[in-house]
Amino acid sequence: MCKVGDILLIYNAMNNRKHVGMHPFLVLDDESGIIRGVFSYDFIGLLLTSANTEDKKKRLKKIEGNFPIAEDDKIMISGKNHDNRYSYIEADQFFYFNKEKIKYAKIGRLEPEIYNLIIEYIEELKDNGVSIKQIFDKASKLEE
Amino acid sequence: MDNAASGYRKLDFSKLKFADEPLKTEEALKQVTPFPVPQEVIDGKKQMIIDSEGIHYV
Repeated sequence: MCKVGDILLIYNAMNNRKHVGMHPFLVLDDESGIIRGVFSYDFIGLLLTSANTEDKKKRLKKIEGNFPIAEDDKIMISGKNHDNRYSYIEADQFFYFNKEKIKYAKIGRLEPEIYNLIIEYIEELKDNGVSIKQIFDKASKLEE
Repeated sequence: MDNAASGYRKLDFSKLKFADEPLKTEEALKQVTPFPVPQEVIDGKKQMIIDSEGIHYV
């Protein structure tokens, strides 16, 4: 069970049968549906990403679809320094997930005040010439 | 409790423009720096909360 605003850690993202690590996603929409008439999904997620070097910070800052959620995080946990890291929601890439195809856990939430700003930001992307990219290889292909 | 009652706005999909071609997960994640989720969060000992001040682990 997941709902809008939840942050999920998705463990088994795989590509070409290789693990590509775990990634946190924001639940953007928790209503199930069918995409392009072919794939069924349970929810739509947005990827959280971050930058820890000046080059990456500059690159991520330039991407129109990135919504900043934290600048210069001051986080020191378990002796590992995550200091001075910029974090973003990739708002222009919609990942469609079928729960049966992924392993995930809820790890937190994004408060409505920020979530609603992201919604506004996404709705303005079209006016800024940005198209939403869709990723649905984690949705389920419907039986013919 | 529905989304509106909980304060979360519903996305208006009619305002969006979608790219013609889908992306593969592999392409989408190709240049992504994995977000560093602290071990305490992975273990379920802490939660990650994002608000207007940034990211908190509580």
